[in-house]
Amino acid sequence: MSDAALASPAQTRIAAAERRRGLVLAGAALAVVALVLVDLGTGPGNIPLADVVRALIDRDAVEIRLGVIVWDIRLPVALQAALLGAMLGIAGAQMQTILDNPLADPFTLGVSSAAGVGASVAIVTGLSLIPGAGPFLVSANAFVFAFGAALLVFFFSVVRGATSETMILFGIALMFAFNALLAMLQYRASETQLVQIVFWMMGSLQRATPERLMAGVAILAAVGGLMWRRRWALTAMRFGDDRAASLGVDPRRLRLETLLLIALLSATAVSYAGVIGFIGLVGPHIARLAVGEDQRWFAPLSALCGAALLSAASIAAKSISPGVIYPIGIVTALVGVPVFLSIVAGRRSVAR
Amino acid sequence: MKGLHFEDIEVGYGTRMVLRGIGAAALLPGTITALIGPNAAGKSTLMRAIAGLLPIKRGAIAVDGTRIEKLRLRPRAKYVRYVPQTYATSARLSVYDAVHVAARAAAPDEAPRDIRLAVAATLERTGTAPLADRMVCDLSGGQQQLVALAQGLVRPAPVLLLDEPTSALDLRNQLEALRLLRDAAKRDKIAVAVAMHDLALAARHADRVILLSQGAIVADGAPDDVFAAPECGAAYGVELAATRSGSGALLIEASLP
Repeated sequence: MSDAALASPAQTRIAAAERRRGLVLAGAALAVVALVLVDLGTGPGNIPLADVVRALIDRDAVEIRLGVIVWDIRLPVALQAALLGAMLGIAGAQMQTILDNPLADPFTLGVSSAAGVGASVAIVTGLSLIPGAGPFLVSANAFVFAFGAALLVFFFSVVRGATSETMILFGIALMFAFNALLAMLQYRASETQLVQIVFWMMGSLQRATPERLMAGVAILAAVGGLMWRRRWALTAMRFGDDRAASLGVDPRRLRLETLLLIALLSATAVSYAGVIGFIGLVGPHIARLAVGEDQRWFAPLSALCGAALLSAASIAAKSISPGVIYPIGIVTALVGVPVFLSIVAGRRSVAR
Repeated sequence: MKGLHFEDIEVGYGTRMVLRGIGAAALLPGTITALIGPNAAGKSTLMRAIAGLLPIKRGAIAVDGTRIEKLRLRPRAKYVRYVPQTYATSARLSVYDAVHVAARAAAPDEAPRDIRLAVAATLERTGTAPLADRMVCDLSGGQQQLVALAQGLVRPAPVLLLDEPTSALDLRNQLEALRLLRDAAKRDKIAVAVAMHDLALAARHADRVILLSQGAIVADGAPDDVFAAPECGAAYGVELAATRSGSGALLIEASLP
């Protein structure tokens, strides 16, 4: 076997395809950086983008007020938008992979409803599940419930056999149960508490702090690394359990491991900023259309698409009506749907 | 003991036994064995049990003298490769990527460069090289089946099991696929077992035929002997007559009793 085998026309096209996918990835990364910059330049106070960039480069060189707005108010929010978008994007991609369902998202298995119950318990009763959670009471409870819901799906799947059908059925049952619990808590809540619950559920990026960002980056890096180690196995899952198993992949075990990793991402995201829908569904979808489902490209691009979409939503949340910052959970769908439709429509017309 | 040996395999769901102490058989390296039998005879179940996709209640399976029936999927993949009947897929992967990921998953420790060369060679051998940059999900059924075949061949194991690997292929591709399997069996010294419904194809291309009926082996031997045996017609519930044509091809005539 010689290198001639690698130089056939098909091989040349394959090499070109690999380069193209690398470029797509680089382009998406640049888009995220650009969107985060625009996000920093958007908001009440009408600061020109040039001033924002100046403040970013050297905080001491600009007036104190500008430094505070850019570094302490806007930067955590903008970075959190990109971070959570990336988490939701990659979590959605893997959920779609292990459930073999392009309509799955990070919250398919009841994680968001469970998080809502956790937050509501904190708001209505003030009960903390993590001692000493203090100001993070609501977030901490949301995380515990969200991760707990995923663990329930996990253990049920261990007992009943980890097929995608089992997981989806149990997850949906769980979602209904948590929705009922949530309604129950809302029914018993006072008016002020009810408003708090509703606002929490709508999602907000404004609760960002540097400490939470660091923790989030660490979680994303750790989970992303573990997923990367399973990239071949996860890609092989696209051919169904039997074909993957014949290649030495244990589909049930991989499904369970990946479920835990997804749960860590989605529980973190929902505890940071409430329920942000759509990103985890559409991010992977765009990535799939652009580079296919080879995890080497699919996973990172899903994260970048999620980050870009949530940054765009964060910009839109501040731009729709001046002086008002809309809850991010409302905006994601408003921004996401047109983006999504234009991509799907554009693809069809090319295909014809 | 080279090749695949198995005996007394029992597989059941609850109280219903699908394979009931299937008799012993040995599949030798370099040969092609056809697994035939009527619907629900247990052909797929036997293959899935050997590949480790179904738990067995009893029995022994050995490859090249190593017992594998208790091995988990990852170590087992070193011994057995299985190409299931379902070839249709919605995967948005190019043909190249599909075969490449199969090789990477099956041989995680091999050098990337060797893998790439093996993938390129396998695409050539299976005739899928011209499709290399096409998306698998956009291909025809027959082309998808060739991709599944390529995935099973790219990093060969000592035993290759294929379930109806030519069901979606046209005449020429059927012949090419079987010639490919014969070459692979000879070249890589692997024992190939193919489950098939087409008896004429089995008669023509298999070195040996194993007839399954109701979860047990009822005949095992050279194609001529198995097709001539009364058990063969009985298993299918038809009258069978096998004769050699002038050119030496085995002709099989079946009629309702």
